[in-house]
Amino acid sequence: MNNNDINLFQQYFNRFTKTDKTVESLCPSLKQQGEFALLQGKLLQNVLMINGEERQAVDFINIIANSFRRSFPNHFIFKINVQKLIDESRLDLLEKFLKYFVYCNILVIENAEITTQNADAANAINRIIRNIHDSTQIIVITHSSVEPQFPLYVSLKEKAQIIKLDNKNDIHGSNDVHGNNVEFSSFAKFISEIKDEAGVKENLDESEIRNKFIEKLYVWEMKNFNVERLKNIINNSDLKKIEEEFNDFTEKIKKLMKLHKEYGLLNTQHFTEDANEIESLLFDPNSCDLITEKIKELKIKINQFRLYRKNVKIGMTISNFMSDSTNRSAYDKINQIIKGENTDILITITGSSGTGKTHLLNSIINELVNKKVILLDKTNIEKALLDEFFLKNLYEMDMLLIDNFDELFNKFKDKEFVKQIVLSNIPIVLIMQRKYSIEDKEILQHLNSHPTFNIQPSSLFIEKTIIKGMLSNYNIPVDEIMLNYIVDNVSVPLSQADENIRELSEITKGNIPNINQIHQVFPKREKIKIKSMKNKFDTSNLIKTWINEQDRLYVEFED
Amino acid sequence: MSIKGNLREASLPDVIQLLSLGKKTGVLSISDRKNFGDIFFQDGRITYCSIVNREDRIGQILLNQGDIKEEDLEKALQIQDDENNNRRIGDILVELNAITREMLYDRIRKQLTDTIFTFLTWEDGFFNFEPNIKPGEETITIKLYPEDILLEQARKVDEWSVIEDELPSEHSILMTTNIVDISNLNENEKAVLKLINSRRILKDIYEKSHLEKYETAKAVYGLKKIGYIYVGEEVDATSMISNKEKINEHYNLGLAFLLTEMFEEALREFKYIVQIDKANAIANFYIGMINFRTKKYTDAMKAFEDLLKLGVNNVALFNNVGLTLEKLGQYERAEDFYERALKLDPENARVNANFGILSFHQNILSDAEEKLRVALRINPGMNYARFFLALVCLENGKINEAIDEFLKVTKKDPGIWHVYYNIGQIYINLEKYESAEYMIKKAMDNSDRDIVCYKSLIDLYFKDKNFKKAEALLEEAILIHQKEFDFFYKLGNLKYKKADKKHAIIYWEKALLLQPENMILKKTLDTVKNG
Repeated sequence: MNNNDINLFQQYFNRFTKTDKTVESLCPSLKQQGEFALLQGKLLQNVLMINGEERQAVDFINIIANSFRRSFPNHFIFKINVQKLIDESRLDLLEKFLKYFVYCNILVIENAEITTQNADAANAINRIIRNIHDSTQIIVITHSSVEPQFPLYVSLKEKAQIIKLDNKNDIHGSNDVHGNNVEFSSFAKFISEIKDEAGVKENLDESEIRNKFIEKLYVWEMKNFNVERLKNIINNSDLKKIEEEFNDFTEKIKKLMKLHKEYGLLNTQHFTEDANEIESLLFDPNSCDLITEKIKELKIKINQFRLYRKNVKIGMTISNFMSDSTNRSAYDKINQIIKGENTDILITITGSSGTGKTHLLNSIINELVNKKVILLDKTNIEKALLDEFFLKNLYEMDMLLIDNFDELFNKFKDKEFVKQIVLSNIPIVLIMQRKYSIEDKEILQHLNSHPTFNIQPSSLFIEKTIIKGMLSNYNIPVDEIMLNYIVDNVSVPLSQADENIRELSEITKGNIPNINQIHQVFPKREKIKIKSMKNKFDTSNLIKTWINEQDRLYVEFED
Repeated sequence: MSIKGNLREASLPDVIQLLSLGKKTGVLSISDRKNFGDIFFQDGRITYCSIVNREDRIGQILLNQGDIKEEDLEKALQIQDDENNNRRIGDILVELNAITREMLYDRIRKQLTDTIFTFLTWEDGFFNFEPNIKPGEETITIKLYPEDILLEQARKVDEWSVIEDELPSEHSILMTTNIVDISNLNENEKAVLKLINSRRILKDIYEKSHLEKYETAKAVYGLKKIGYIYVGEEVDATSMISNKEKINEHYNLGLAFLLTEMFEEALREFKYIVQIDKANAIANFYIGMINFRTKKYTDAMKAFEDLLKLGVNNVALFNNVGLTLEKLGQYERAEDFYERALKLDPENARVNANFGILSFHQNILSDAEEKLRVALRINPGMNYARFFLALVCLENGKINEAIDEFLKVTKKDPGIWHVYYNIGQIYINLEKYESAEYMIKKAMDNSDRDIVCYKSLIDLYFKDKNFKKAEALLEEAILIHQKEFDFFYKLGNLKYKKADKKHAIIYWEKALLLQPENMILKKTLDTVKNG
């Protein structure tokens, strides 16, 4: 798509009028839809048909479109104004941009009734609807009683909630295509008939009060709340009892609305099952306690999930990993994981520091955006141990990544806990320097029974290219000599070098760094040797050479 | 049983006979320091012989002798290849009717007797017998009684010493004279004369001839003597083969010498290779390795450094450089090389163990323990890593653990006397003299009665005031270690203590011979003698 195309697309399909109006100004049906959409970034139904008063529908679309830009920047609403396209003879644009409609979260078809008079428009819209993603939601706006003619309309209608708006902005909503007034009066009549049959006589006041309750019940039902309990008592002769029930129900609805808001603020992207379960209860006032509990559980899971992804380095992706012969097998394996082609439950990647293990590990989490992948390392293992929900929720994860497993295992006091995690049956990728530094036989056997990929030290070329890239990111100019010096003296793993180079940029302030400055951020490698104190046991008479020194020698040449 | 020795000290026929009588199975390797060969035995009978760098592929031998045509051999090789080398080339040639089985065995027998004949002409060199080694599957073997061959070949060898002096070099071209009448010649001479065509060198004629080498040589000798042939120019043998072939020959020989621990000869062969090709990494590697094994660490280092200069960058080299530097006492540099090796292969048991041992020598015990344990986790059977781990445990005061580790070493290899000795020392420290005695005796048995074991056990008996045992042991020790002053001196002391003045003087005098300047002993002797 070139710039002209982008402008054209914006002009015809992604332009929404700015408005100061809020959902409060909308009729109840649209208000309910609007409130949900603003919280969730989606509609209550997959297809919404709005038929009638134009202003309300247009306001509704503009309000959610403007709000989405702020709250859900990754959500796209595209609008096809059939009338405009026909008037300006730009139906060709529907064909031209056919594939871009796939990306929209909500597709609005305005003036859809025009398709009855224009077969080309009907066909083009039909193609777009066929082509869009299953999860794309559709709003069809018609301004007359004439039904649109695009062929998919009929099937869309079956799934749709239809909102009919009259000129007085009355509140109407129905799952039926019939008018709401007719529906309401027939409902009231039905109740009244039942009462007559039951021989119930009421005075006028009582009747008015009861009608009000019935009207309320009806509105709630229209809003999709579960009103079965009220239906069961609405014919009770004791109006006081009905009032009590209605008051109680109202309180619960209030509570439910609070829960709606609370739930709407949660990022449920990785917990769709939990989200679906909560959403199925959200309109049942009798389930307030259960919903509260479920939301609490979900919050714990989301917080936990965040905690164990806190250390993820988002810049480390598979596309910016430099692969060569030293890391090819590990790189290929990670690619398999990302593409969903891996069948191994446990994968170990070994290699000395600076070989790119951390980068590969992080790239898994960064690429599998929709999967529940968490990262365990020395900074959060203690929290995991103290967290009563960690092990319980661990089994729900799609994958567990463990950074520097050898260090983590050897230094962490509760080895049984770590062992329990590693031996669990969830897919694990762990990285470590040396597999055989693990002292636990059971773990070692477990690791050995699954594939291990060793990464050899990066070639100088790769190290140089990575460091060069980092220096350029922080606008540090270097000549070849200084670059070589830095490469030779980087005393930290490449995965941590970024931070040091950032510090270097602060010191050098745009100039070529000198050796002193380099060593301010990259300390010289120094070997720390701790000589042991000899014990009192006299070992001076012992033989301290091996009988056959050549055992220690390689006797065959390696090519 | 180890059968090895020098050809000057034990004649080859004697050795072969010994193996035959003992019905041995295995390979007897023989070298005259320039060449190297093998004789394979099965239940005392000779089954196959070969000389390094000499053609021993039966197909090629049959071709050289004109028994088969080139296309026969090619066809047979193709069939062998198609059948995934499941059948031997000789059998395929028989099946193709390229040769009869009788002829095949006759040629094999000739090759075998020729080879033994060559071995018998080697007057100086080494031999070594390795039991239970058989020739490769592809080899067609026959069974010959060594006695039959030896008897026949021994006679030829005697005559050979006469003929040899008259024979030209194997690289000389033989030319025919103009004598046409061949009626005076015997059958062998006639056959050999047919092979002489003014182009072939003597070596080719040996190869082409259906006669044994000795018979062919004898015919050449006769033909030359009676004027049917004369010796033409000598072809420079080295110029006839490419450098690649030369390197290959030296390499094969070098490796053969190395395997039989003939280090000097092996070194010579690998040095030849470096003379031809300075950048030959394998030869430099072996030169370094042989120098290391012969404890010439500076020379070893030089060869390994040459390899580093050649850009060789592998774990084996880094490990060996590290180890050599350790031997040269350059611990810090050694560390660098072990680190480089571990960067290439962090889970290399040998490098981890070596690094651990280096740390132990540097007294960095925590590093030593960590690395040795890693090595043992990778390869639990690595006995020397366990040996040093035991030493580390001991330095850390974990005595029981140290003994356990030492015992594990002996379990895997019961012949390592150092370990029994060390356990014995631990028990002495713990004043468990009985256990100490048992262990040091075990060390003694396994060490071929090493002097260190004697000294330790004698000290132990003195410490335990068990002078009777000390005296008996000293009497045994002086028979084996006759140059140890201490043994004679102490034995003299013990005898004197028992009032056996006569023997005390005898042993002290022997001790004085070993340390003539020992004034205290001199004075003691004077006093006792005159007292």
